[in-house]
Amino acid sequence: MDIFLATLPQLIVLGISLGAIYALIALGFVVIYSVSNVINLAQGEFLMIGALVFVAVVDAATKTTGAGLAVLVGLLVAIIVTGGVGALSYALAFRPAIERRASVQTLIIISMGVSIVLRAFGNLVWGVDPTSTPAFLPGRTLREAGMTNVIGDSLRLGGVALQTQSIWIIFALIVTVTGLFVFFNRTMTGRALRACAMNPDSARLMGVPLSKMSLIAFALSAAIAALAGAIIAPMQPVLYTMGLGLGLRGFVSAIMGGIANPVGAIWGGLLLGIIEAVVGGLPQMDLPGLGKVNPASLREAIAFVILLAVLIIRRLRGANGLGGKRFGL
Amino acid sequence: MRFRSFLPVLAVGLILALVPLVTTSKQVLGTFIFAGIYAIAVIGLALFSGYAGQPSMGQAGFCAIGAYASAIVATKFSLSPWLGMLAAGATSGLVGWLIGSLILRLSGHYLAIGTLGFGIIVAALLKQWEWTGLSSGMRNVPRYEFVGDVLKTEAGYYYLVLVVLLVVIVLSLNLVRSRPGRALRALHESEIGAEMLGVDTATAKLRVFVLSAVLGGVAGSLYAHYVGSITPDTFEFTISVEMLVMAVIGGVSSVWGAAFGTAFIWGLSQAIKALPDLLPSAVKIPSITQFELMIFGAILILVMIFMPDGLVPTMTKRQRR
Amino acid sequence: MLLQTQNLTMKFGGIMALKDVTLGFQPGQISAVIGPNGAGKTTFFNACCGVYAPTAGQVIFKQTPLNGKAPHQIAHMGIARTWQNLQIFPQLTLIENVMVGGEMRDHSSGFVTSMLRLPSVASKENVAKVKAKHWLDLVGLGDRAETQAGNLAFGQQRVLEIARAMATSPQLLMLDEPAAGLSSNERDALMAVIRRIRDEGITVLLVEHDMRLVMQLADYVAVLNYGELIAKGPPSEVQSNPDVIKAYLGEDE
Ligand SMILES: Nc1ncnc2c1ncn2[C@@H]1O[C@H](COP(=O)(O)OP(=O)(O)O)[C@@H](O)[C@H]1O
Ligand SMILES: [Mg+2]
Repeated sequence: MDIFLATLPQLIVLGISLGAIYALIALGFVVIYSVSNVINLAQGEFLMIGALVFVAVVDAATKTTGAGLAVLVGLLVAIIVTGGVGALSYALAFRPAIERRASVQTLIIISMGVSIVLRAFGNLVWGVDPTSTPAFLPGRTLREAGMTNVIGDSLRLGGVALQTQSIWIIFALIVTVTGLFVFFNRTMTGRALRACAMNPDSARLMGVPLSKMSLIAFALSAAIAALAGAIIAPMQPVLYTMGLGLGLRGFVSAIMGGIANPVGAIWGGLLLGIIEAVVGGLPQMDLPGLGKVNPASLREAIAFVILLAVLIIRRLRGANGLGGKRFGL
Repeated sequence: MRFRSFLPVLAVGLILALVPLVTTSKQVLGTFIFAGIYAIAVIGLALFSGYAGQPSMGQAGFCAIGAYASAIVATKFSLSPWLGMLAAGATSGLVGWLIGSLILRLSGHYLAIGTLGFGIIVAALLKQWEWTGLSSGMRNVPRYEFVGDVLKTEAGYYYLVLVVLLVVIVLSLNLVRSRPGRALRALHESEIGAEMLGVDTATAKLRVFVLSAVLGGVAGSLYAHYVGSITPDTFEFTISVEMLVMAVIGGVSSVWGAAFGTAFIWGLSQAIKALPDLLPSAVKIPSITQFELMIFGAILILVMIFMPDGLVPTMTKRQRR
Repeated sequence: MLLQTQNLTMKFGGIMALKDVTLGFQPGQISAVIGPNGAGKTTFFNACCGVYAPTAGQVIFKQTPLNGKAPHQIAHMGIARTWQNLQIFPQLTLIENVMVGGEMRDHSSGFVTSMLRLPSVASKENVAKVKAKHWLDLVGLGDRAETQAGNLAFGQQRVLEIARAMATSPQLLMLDEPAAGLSSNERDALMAVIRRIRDEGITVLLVEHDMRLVMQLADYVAVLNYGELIAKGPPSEVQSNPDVIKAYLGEDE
């Protein structure tokens, strides 16, 4: 237990960088849900496509352009290609269904269909072997620049090791949030999207083309997911199955934050990341009935236990609140 | 009058009973057996998701609980596998009741996500349970005994699954055609409307959820004793999704639709598996399973766009016109 | 008094939909709650039958407080209602819609007995069907028993809701704007149906916009305005109450 307490700061730092990724994925959910009312379970697969495209481009470009530029080109290509995939998914799979007044359940199933197709596509094109890329800012570069507190690809700050890639993750989250803020508040398109999110009927009356706005929302969400995928490419194996777990966690974060609430999604992501990291760092436990359990492997279950608890508590509170309604009328 | 409404069950049962007489191929019979086992779980799901209109993405979790309960009874306690099946239904039902009391307060999206979470939690916990072999699961699960070794043959097991399936169909049809079934369909369309007509909607939903869990558990038991080994991954959440797809594609508010949807998806995946043999040899497909999944996904999307009510209701509606 | 409310209050966020409403309704009468749009009439109904939990105050039915009771429990106690925004079951046939209500007091056809289709289930079902047909006939929809309810015209769906509510054998029938959207022929038929229901000894409480209908039917009228009770009494008295006239003149009707 003492060891656990000693590593707590480290775990929290780890959790924040993990959580920032979840937050990015969650933001994608929120953008799509608020504009077009679709719960898009293919968000993780957008991330996977983004990561695979990124790795492929970086691999190809490094020889000709050098590592630094390759990362930039890779990011750009990954974001554009995945944004296109997102738009295409909407145009081919969701729009026809929405035009036929599909129910919520139908749309969820369609999004599962999209994720099945994209996962199979990722496998057919990129195979089953995981790939990866070097960190954007390798520790070697820092050491060569004269920094002494660098071990591997991590910085040592006090007793805490911070992967250089984590800095990029946080940076990406901040850039994305700022970018989204500016986009939604300062541009015509962004304001139109917000109008759709707040009141689709009056937005339509005012001549905002809902279908085009949804297309943009899907492209935007896919682009955010691609950014998340590219940024974690150096930190974990990149292959066609990676979207499943990450997508679910992003989704849990979005729900924790209240599904249509971007700020909530960010908090949800960070909270989930920290909880997962801390639980993962707990020492092995002897649980009654289960025997010796390594908490790290329970992380997935814990994400969902939290999710269920959040959903049910929120529902109960809503039901008993002052003058609250008991039935959705 | 009543007898006539069960003629289709009789007819389907008779036709299916002929299959082992036509072929003894282990592969063909195995396909039918798996399809039958799936259909049992999918009918359970259809009662909850289709009739009562409550989306569930956790049916495989109940199959897992049933399969493990049955396997534990038969291997760890060396009791009769039939007791295993009983334990499977009872355990799944009990867990369904406990979980249902909590998550059925949710509705719509949130219920779908809650049930999804349930399935994932079950699989994750089973991976941690030393007693049941962690990720590598349980082996050497014996077949049920009946008149010696009859159920150890493919044909024998085929008839067992067929009988269970037909019984499940008859019981489900009885249910949906009577008072509780009407109440479920009513609350599907207006929960408050049904409440005000005296339907205790919370209890009705919980009961049908438990029923669907029991059917999932029985299917899990049939699976475990057929294959002989089970792992947590056998019951991944993608299986739950696949079951929901089967229920929806057949037409989710229909017992026949659920059975038909299961058959359709199984037939489809068999057909796609056979596809490479039909293509000219110059066309190379790198991975059959992934290719199969891709077509599966595409068909799923198309059906959902053009026939959101599923195949069976869409076809019967056409007929009626 | 069959139904009483004491200081019934209902808040939605900042909106006071009902403010200290104290009212009582005599058994065997036709009573009406009237008032301009948004006065809180539907909210009054919802608070009485358990759809909303009141912010304060209570509802008492047959001397029993209804606080904390769910709608289905209240239905079992003998209150049935219809809905302004319609809550029919569109995919069910008319007879099935009515049977759902009629089967309320059947406690023997549970899940298990129904799955096994024990003989008792089949006979109960036939009884329920005959009764349901009776109510459909009463409101003039008997010949369409096997149609899906979603295919009915709007006005017919309203009447179907009355048949469905009556099938629960209530002591109190609450009708939320039953005449809205009806043609004048349909409205006359409706008035006849409501009188017949009263003559069978069932207390009727209705919310209605149509003043003429209320004045012809009701024995007792209560007027709400902005959630407050501004008048109550026999129709003739209420009609000449200056507060009521003012409230109604505020509206162009
Ligand atoms: N569920 C609700 N949430 C918030 N406000 C509501 C709700 N139901 C009714 N109200 C408000 O309460 C007031 C009374 O509404 P209502 O009872 O429907 O009026 P009426 O039936 O007399 O036309 C209105 O201002 C309405 O907006
Ligand atoms: Mg009203």
